[in-house]
Amino acid sequence: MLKIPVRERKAWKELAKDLGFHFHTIDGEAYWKEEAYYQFTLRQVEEDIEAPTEELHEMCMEAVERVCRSDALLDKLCVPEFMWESVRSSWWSGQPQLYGRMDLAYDGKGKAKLLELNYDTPTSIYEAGFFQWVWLEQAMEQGLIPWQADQFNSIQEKLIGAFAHIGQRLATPEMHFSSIKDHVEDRATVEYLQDCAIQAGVDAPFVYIEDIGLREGERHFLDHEDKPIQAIFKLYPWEEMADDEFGSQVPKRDTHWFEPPWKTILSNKGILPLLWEWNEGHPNLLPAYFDDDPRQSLKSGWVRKPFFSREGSNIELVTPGGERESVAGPYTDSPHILQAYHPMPRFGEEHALIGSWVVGDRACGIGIREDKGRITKDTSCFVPHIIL
Amino acid sequence: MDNANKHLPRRKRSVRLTLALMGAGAASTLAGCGDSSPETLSNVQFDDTESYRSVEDCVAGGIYTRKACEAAYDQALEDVPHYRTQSQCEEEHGEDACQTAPHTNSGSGSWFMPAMMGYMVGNMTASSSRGHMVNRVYQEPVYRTRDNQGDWSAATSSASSRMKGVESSMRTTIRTHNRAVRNSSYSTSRSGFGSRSSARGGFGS
Repeated sequence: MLKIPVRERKAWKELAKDLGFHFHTIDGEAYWKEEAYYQFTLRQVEEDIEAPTEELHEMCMEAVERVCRSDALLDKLCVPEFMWESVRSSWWSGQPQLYGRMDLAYDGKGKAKLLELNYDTPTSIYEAGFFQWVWLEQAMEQGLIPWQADQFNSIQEKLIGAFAHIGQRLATPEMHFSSIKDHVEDRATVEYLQDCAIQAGVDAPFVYIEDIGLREGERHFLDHEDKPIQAIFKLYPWEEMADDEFGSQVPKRDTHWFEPPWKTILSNKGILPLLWEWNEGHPNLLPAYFDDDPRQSLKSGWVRKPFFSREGSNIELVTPGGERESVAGPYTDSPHILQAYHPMPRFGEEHALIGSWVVGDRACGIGIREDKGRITKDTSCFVPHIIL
Repeated sequence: MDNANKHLPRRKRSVRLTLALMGAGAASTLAGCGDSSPETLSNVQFDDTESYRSVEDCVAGGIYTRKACEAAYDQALEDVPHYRTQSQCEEEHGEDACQTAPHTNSGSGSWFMPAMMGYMVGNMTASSSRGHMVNRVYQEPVYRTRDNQGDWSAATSSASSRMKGVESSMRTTIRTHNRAVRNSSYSTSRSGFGSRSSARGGFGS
């Protein structure tokens, strides 16, 4: 695993604009960066990332099964009781998932370690699945990188396949798509997924989360035009939905949700101590435990994370050397876990984190994000990769 | 052993990708393959239709820009029935009703069409099968026929009934499509999801 400087493609910002990538720069700071790329060998990709991702994914599926069988564990993971039936029936009826991302710490030599799962509302899929691929093709064509380079990336192809599969299982091939108002990046991610759905022959109307309606006597949730929602993709977390006013209606209506309700088990950092307990010593897992007293000061070599938090918020860590780092945030209302600290590789000033994508049940690509800090935040940068 | 595949490089990436919805134009040239499904429209509605005798008349109306007026005129011209010979055209539309068609995109050689009298321009809104709302200018040519004999109000009224025909045929398909939408004495309540979104920013992770 190397980081190699490279010339930027000419006029890539105009291209980005043409391709709907409007958040390549966020608040004046670069988000997409192509002045360098990461290089892996095929062996590193296949043996150290792809295979472990699928193995970890398999362990996650077993964990969902075990949690579904236990009231105590559903309770431990803060799944509200009114959701249990939906979680269980969506799992036991085999309701398919669309996608998920595992964040791995990997330096090209040792074992990739699972830092966390983003299995309910993952983003950065447009940059990983599409824009990164375009970069590779163009950079090879323009002679900026070796002509025989490859990339671990069949993400979009797999997404289209997954939508086609889901479309066949629906009564009519239509799925609504939804994100919250006033958030460009979330909206763009959803637009990309709509794009993939359409390419799979699935109609893909959009409705904002806030505009989803309910009406007495209707079996489904309704969209902004009062049309029934048969199935909907939501870039909005299950734990928030459960807390919202309409949450209690989810089990009572026939609308199918993607990700399915059972994903709430995996979008919760409480799954990490359970994975460790059930697979202790697995080379791709870090020791993790439920944090019984989050007021106690954190010991060296440990990371404290809330059950529910996004983009690095409310995470605190102390390195074995005693260096302390933390990110403030709004996720103060849930229990915490402790996870053994594992260093991320550093290239120059930047820490690199590998996001390994799972679509359907297959590992199908990676996206790399960099951050100066040890905690990857929503202000980190996306950097392309190649296989050589 | 599968020798046939031996010399083929193993690829970890997709051979071709394209976008159907996001910035379509650039994508299809990039990836070398077009949209997989044609866009279809539903819930079509035409509003605020105005009739104009010429592009200048349209511009003077102050609703549409010159560019929009010109584009709508060119399109309207295309939509007038075209004939290979003057006699074929006159047979259909009456003696002295026809003229040589101006140079359009409809192919080489000379064409004949009933005399263009003007056009109607309106706003069209529709839901696209690609999941977004479509809002564009819609136009309908006003031209001489056997029935209207070049009378402006008769010609515009047949143009507007053609527009209604289009509108209702596109609506019918939708009505069957959305049969599940029923009139109900209950009202829809909203804002039941997303209550904390403003406090937490985005939800992607």
